[in-house]
Amino acid sequence: MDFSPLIISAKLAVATTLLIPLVAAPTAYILAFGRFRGKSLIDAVVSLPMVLPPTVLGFGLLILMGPNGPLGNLWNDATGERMVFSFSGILLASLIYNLPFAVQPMRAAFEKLDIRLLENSAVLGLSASATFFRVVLPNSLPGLAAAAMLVFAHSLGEFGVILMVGGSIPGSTKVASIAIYEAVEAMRYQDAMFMSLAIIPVSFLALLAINRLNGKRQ
Amino acid sequence: MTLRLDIRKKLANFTLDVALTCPSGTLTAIVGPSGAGKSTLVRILSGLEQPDEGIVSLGDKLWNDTSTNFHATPQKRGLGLVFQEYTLFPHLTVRKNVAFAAVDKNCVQDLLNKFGIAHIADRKPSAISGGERQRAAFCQALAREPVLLLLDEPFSALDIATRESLRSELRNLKQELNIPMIHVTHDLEEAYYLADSIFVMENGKAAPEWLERQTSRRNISFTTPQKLQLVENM
Repeated sequence: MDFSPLIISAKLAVATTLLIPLVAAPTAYILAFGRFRGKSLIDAVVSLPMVLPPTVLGFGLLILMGPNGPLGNLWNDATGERMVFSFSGILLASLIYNLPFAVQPMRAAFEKLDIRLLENSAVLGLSASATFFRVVLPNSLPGLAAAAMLVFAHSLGEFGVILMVGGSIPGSTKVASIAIYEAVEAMRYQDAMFMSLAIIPVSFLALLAINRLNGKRQ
Repeated sequence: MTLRLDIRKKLANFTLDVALTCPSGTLTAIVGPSGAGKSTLVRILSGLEQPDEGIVSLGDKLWNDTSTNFHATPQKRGLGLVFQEYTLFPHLTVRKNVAFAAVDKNCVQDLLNKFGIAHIADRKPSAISGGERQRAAFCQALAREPVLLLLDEPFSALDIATRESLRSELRNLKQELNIPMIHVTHDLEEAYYLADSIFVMENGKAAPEWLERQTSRRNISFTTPQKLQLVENM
C-alpha cells in the first residue's frame, strides 16, 4: 500500500497551519479593530472561500495559477517551475481556502479583548504593531490555538480545491482524501478503509482540542 | 509647565465645551454628574479621541490644534493614565506590568516598595485584590515618568478603607511629582480633599452651580483647602 498520500496530507496540513497566521493574524486584527470604509468588503472577500463550492474556488485558482495566469506567471519567473500540479500550488490553494477558517476564530479572540488594554498600551507609548505582539497576541492564545487546530483538521480533509489545482500526481499532489476517492473507485476498499481510519482519530483529536480551547476562552 | 485646553466636541446629547488650565504641581478635580462628558474629556487629553475644534497643549508642546488639523497620538504625549477600572495586562505579573513602559527599569522596585506591593510583585493581576491592582496601575503609569497624570475615577471601584488610604497617598504624591494632574471623580469629598482647583461639569459645560446644589441639598460641608478655587470656562 502507498503511504505517500497520508504523508502529503500531513505535510500540507502542517505547512498550512504554520504559514496561515502570517496572513490571517493581520487580517483578523484589521477586521477586529480597524475602522475604515470597505471593511465589510474585505470581510466578504476573506469569507468567500467558506461559502463557494470548492470546485468553483479550485477552478478560479487553476486559472490564476495556470501558465497563463498572473500568479502562475510570477511563480514561473521566480522559480522556473509551474505552479499548478505542484505541492507549492496546492499549498497556496490550501492557504486561500483555509483563510476564513483561521481569520474568523482569530477575529473573535481579538474582539473579546478589552479595548481598554489596547488603549492603555497606546497611552504607555507602544505602537500598534508593538501592541499587537506584546498585548493582543499573548492575551488571545487560546483563540489562536483553536484557529490553528481548525485549520489543521480542515486542511487534512481537503478534496475539491486540491484536485482542481493539483490534479492527482502520486508523491506530489495526491493527498489522502483524493487517494481514498480513487481507491473506492477502483474497488480497493481495504486501502480506503486504512486511510480513512488514519485520518478519523487525528481529526477527532483536533476537534476535541478546539472544544477544550474554546472552553478555556469562555 | 501648564496644561491648557480649550476644546469643543459634539457628543450624542450635548456639545462638550471646556476651557481650563492646570499648572505643574497642582491637581484639578473634574466633578459632575454621570454622563457630563468627564471621561470624554480625559480621552481627548490622552489623545484617544480628537476634539472637533480647539487646542490642547502642555507647556510649549502642542497636542491638538484643529485649525491645522494637528493631533498628537497617545504614544507621543508621554502622559500617565489610570483608568476607572483595572487595565493591567492580565498575562503579565505585577512587576512586568510596572516595567511595561518604564523609562528606567531600575525604578520599578522602588515604585513597588513605595506603593507597598513589592510582596505581590510576582503575581498576576487576577491573583491580587482590587486595591493592589489599582496601586499597580499607579506604579505602571508613574514608571513612564509622565509629563501629566490623568486619573479617571481611579478609586471608584474600591472599598472605603482602601479608597481613603490611596487618596492620602495620592495627596503625598502630588507634592513629589511636579506635573499637572487631572483627576475625574464623582466623589465631592475626594475632590475637596485632593484638588487645588475644581472644574464642575454638567452637560459638557462648566456648571459651578451644580456643586452648590449638591452641597446645599445634601447639607454637607466639606473642609475646603485655602487655595481651592472653582474653575469656570475661561
